[in-house]
Amino acid sequence: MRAFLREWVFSLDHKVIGKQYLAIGVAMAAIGAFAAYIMRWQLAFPNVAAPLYGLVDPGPYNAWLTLHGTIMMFFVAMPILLGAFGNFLIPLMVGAHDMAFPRLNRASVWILFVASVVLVASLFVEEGPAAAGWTNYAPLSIDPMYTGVGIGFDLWLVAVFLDFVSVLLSGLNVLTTALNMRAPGLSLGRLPLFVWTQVVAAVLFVFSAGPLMGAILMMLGDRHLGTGFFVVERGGAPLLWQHLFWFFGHPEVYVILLPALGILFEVFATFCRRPVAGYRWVLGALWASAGLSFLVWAHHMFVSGMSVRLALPFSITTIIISVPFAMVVFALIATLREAALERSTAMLFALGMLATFLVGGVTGIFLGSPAVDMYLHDTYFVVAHFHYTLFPSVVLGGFAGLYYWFPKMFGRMLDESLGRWHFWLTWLSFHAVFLPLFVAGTRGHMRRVYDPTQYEFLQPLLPIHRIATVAALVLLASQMVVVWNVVRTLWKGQRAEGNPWGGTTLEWATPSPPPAENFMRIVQVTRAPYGYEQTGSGVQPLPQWVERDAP
Amino acid sequence: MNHDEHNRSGSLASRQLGIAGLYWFLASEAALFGGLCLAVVYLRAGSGDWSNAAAHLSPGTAIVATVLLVSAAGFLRKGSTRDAHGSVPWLLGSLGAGLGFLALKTLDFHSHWTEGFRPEVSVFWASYFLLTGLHGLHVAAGVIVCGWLTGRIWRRQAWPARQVWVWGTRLYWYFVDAVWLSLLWLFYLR
Repeated sequence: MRAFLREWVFSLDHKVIGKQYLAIGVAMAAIGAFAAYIMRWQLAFPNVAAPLYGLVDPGPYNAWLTLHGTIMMFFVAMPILLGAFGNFLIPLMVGAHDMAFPRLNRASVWILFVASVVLVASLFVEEGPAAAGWTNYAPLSIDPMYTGVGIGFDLWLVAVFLDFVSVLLSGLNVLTTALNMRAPGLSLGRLPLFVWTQVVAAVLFVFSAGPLMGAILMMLGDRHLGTGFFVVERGGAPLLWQHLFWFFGHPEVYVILLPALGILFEVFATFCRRPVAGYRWVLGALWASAGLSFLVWAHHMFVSGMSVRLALPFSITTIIISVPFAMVVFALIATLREAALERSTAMLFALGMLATFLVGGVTGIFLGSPAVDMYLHDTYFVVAHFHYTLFPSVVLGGFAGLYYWFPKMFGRMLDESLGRWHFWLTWLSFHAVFLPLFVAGTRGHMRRVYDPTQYEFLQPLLPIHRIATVAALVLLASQMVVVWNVVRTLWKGQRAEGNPWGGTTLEWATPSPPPAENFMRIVQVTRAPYGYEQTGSGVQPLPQWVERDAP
Repeated sequence: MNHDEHNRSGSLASRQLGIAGLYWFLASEAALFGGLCLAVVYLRAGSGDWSNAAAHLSPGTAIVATVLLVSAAGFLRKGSTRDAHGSVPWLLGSLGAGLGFLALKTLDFHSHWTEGFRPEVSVFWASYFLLTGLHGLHVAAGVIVCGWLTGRIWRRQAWPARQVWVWGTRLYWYFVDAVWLSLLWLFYLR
């Protein structure tokens, strides 16, 4: 027991902590997926009892949709992309023994665990969990008379606050480690793009989280101290919550997207057997998009009642921000050119993410135009748009990373054939769920409505919901393939060598899995990453490192 | 971790990593207070009787509080240039000044409270109590760190990281002072 505590609960090893983040993210994803199941069942079969749950009443429906968004954004996307992959890989990729602040790292994952428990606990309080959407706008969220929710919302506020503390502390670690603990020869211009995306994401979070954390304090004051920050009758402004939320909320989606793009860069370079096209352009685009992301937030608020004069400037910045992301997409596509393409599940998921994200990104441009947004805001078009951006990032990108780095993390090779099944089932069913929702949105279908059939003009859209729900059930069931793959591989899978994919970055200089101190000898970096050369026996990697014995 | 400390590109000794981390932490705190200050500006623009409410604040208290906070920073500056033994009085000075600030603000809050000026009265008072309260919590944290530092140095164990810790506390205190000046501008200047 003491050994378990010492090795797992109290471990300072970034690799262990990374896996703990992964475990929390996966566990919360199961709850978030269950929430999605409840919603999709009710939409397709209104007022029919859902198997394993029962009848979905309006209040609980709102609670499930709130929980779904909250969990997926704050307790799945960030823990997996930042916490799991970031923590596990950054020290390895920069040639360090651990993160800069191992104890802070341990505290971060503990705080996340506590935050998760607090949020799950809100499921069990009498009046239910928060139910005003993951955005929990004032005044709907403030007063129990609107949603019936009591302490459930306070638990939400505390859980999100703690989650932010965890990510902030983790971000300090990422920034200090990546910028100040690099191996000899690893200049910033030779840093893997995965590390760069983690750095930019951490900077984004450091500067964007504060306003929402302040807003949470203000909201708690409004609910319990009688203050009126967001209450008109007490001199406040409900719109202020929206401004503070989205000032954070927009950089947040890039906090999630960028690490996923980082995974893409690594997977693309390795399986295309060539450098990422336009490394410096990509770097510039990442920073440009980061800066711009602080100037677009009110495109979430075009119809909120804010001054209409704000619509034009925010629309302009929103259109402009598509440019750096287009550059990143073009760089990835260009990397496919003259590529000696190697097939693998990781590459399938990476290609799938790129193609899917393209649709999501382009549909965002429609929403960036206030004239169009006036009709599409709060419809299923928005729901489809953000699932077409977030799902590829978190799920497709996350699985690309899992299949790619599983050998390094767990020392065994996942079954590639099962991986291909997993990809196609996941990817095709995803499109079947969300593509029809664009159509529903353009035909006026509002979001966050528990029973659309109560509106006559929405009744003809019920078949869309039925298709989406069946596809969603397939999507959820398909994840059993990867669960089976992981379980079987951990049990008796083929053991992995140090560099099974022929990567060029420093994590592949270690055994799989790496020993506690990561590198047995000092690692010297002699070249940029992603170098490959044509030899007699095919395209071979030019690793970044050479090992030298200590003097 | 020893061989990490030399010959690494862009690498700092482990003590200096703490300072790098501290800068990023202060950046996040700046975002927190900055966001709150902008929120208050937003609320002030929509509020009718802000100046009237602000008239009930005591400028004298604000001046003394400012002197205490700036002194604490000054003492830390002096203390950071001394050796271990010589820095202790200056750290105690900072600790005292910080405690004095907290005592003063507590009395100030109490007098507002008994006069009936409470957070629920108006958006001015809600903002005032939230921001100065949050700032006070940060001062308290700084006081605790000063106390911990003093205790550790006093115990006279050789502590290589001492200078970096004192320097870090000094940086933190500069930040706390900067926030206080922003609050002065936000609430006391009408």
